[in-house]
Amino acid sequence: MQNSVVAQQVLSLGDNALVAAYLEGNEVAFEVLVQRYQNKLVNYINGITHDYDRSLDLCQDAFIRVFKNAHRYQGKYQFSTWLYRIATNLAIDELRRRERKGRFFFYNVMDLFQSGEPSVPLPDCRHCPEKKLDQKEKADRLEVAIGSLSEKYKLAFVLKEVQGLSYAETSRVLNISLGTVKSRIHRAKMLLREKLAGVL
Amino acid sequence: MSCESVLKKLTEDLLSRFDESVAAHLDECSDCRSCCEDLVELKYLVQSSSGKHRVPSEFESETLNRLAREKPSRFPSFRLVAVCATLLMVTVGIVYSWEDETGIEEDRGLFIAAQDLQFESDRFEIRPSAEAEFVEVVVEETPGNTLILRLPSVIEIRRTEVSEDYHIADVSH
Ligand SMILES: [Zn+2]
Repeated sequence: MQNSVVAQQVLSLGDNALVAAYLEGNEVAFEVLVQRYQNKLVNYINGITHDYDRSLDLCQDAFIRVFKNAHRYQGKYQFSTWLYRIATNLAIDELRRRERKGRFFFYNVMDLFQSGEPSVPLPDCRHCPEKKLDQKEKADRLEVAIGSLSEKYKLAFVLKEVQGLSYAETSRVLNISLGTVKSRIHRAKMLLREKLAGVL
Repeated sequence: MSCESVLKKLTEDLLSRFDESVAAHLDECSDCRSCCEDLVELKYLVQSSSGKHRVPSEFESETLNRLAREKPSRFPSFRLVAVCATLLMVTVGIVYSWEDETGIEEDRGLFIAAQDLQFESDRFEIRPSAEAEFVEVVVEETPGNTLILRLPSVIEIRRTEVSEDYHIADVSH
């Protein structure tokens, strides 16, 4: 009974207050933060790595790193910025590890074919309404198209448009200027428009 | 107003009210109008198809258990130490680690490649050896199976920005 009252109080705390509570020994605070971010984060990492099982591992790694280092976190950033930043680094490392091991994944192969003017070879269904793609197919095409963007465009686009971060927060997570974030997202959207011709 | 600057505004925020000059351009220019329609579709598609994965129900408890199991890092925080190894076999080991400006260690790992051995681990310890020019890297190859590598410390790896590659620099002691 008393526990559930405590849990209720903890649930209403903001992220930074939860980190502080965790540092004071409140384990429930950690649980609440995990619950708050686990689905968002796994989708974010999966959006970069395109390997759901591996994304679960990396998501867990990100939480562990955050909390093992919680005592060094000074609240200079928002908690989410810090978490996304660590997750981004883990996801990028995962991509580089694959490169080192010489493993090729679908989107790497796509990139190879798209060195010049990139476009995903999608059938043009604009003029054949009877073949209109259903929502599931559209979502799959979108995932392939996002996956085929180069790393810098993909990261900016996924953080801002898929995860819903602000421009300013995306800039802090990626450690690049606001102007660079905006131009990368602009470029990403233009590339996606090309790649998704016939889907949009 | 040029198509280019109109498209920049469109990609920045479709929901904000366009100023007069953008609206006027869209009335005139069918290319930009079509692009605007596609961007609205794209936004809709992204919103409707994102976040489709849900972590399994045991994810949370597994994470909590792991955190309880793992104590805060036992190892001294070192900034980008890398060792390149020449053992009896052709062996290369790279230790990488890096902190952001807040002092949070974000990345740390060991990659070992040899003739009949290739693995990665982030569970390792570096300790001095009897000879000053060598270090010993104690690494858990598989759970319960520890490997000790005696490696000369010769190079440093730096990663400057998220989008940059690792940079390798000589740090001969
Ligand atoms: Zn125009």
